[in-house]
Amino acid sequence: MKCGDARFALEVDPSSDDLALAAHVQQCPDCAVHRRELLELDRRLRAALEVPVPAAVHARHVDRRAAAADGNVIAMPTGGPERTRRVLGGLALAASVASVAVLAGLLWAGFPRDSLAADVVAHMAHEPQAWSTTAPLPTADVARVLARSNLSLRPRSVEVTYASTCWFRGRRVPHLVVRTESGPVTVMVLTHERVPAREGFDEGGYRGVLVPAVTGTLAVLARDEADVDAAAMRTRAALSM
Amino acid sequence: MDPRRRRFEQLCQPLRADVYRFAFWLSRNPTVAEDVVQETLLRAWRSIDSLTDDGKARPWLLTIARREHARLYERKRLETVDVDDLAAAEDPALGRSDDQDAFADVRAAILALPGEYREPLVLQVLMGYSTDEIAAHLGLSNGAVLTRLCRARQRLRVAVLGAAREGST
Repeated sequence: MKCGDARFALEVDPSSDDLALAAHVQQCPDCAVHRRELLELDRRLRAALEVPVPAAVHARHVDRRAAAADGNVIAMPTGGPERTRRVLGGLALAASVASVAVLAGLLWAGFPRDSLAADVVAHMAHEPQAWSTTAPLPTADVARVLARSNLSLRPRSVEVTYASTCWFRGRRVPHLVVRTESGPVTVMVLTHERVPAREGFDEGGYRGVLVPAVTGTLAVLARDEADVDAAAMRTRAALSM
Repeated sequence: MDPRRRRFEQLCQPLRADVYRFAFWLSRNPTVAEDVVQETLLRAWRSIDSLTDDGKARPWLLTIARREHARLYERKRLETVDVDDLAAAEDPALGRSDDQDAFADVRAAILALPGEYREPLVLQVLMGYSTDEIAAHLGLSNGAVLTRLCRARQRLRVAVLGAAREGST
């Protein structure tokens, strides 16, 4: 592979696992530097692209409209195009953008943990297959995933059926599915997040808790009646840095 | 809760943040993005039975969002906004306390990208799409997607890393 081709491939996807590209980068210092720069660029892009989501987006008014539609009641949009129409026009649009921005900022500042819970719930949709695995994973596989975040799990403390490293708010975090007596729960170890105390949530079909831990914050979610608090306590006791 | 509603809740509601962010970067406007989320979820609810593979809920929703965004613009002919004004106005909402300036610069650079470069980049970096998936989503050839991703990063590399270096010397 020539340097020009390698640079093009890196600019298309710096995280590419193409073997020819990897071999070239390994023996070409200039392309290795280029790759490092682009990986750093992507890290910053990913963090910047994760704009805060206004609390209104997580509100339930869309559900009510859906319920109305389901009941064959004519659902009149309460926001949507009508609101868009109002913000048309140069100054009006600019003023509206500023207002929404300030409002969103206030909401973001006022309810940061709601957003954390919402982001955790949103992440669940990225890996629906995680719930379908039922066989316990080998200890070494789980250890390998946790080691990427400098974590370890006490042997035989919990039964893990799924382990993966995921992007979450611009960081790589362990995503586990743990089997409990009351059903499977997802555990995300958010080493870069802090919550002052236990916070429960019920959103998007998931019940869950955020709990503080020496390892950061544990997010534990269930889709059914699994006891998330018990699972959180048990996993927290089993994890160490 | 009836099974249809439960399915909608489990598949679509957790993706609201993704739909909002995708719509935000398409429209570069938080108000429009919220509207797109509403319209997308309403349309998704009406056609949830057409989603045959639960594992594809996210690309399905993003495709709807893209169409709804286009419909909004088609219907209303939304006026364009100066990117500098927009970035400045959005800083309070979009910045994060731990790295506000860095994010503001990067976001301004992304906002300044032409839409044809910005959308595939968002799909790849934020949504984790492969280039094949981006090509299918945008109705483009794979080659066109590679070129757009490459040009997007070339521009952003200069705008983001170039600026950082100048600032640090």
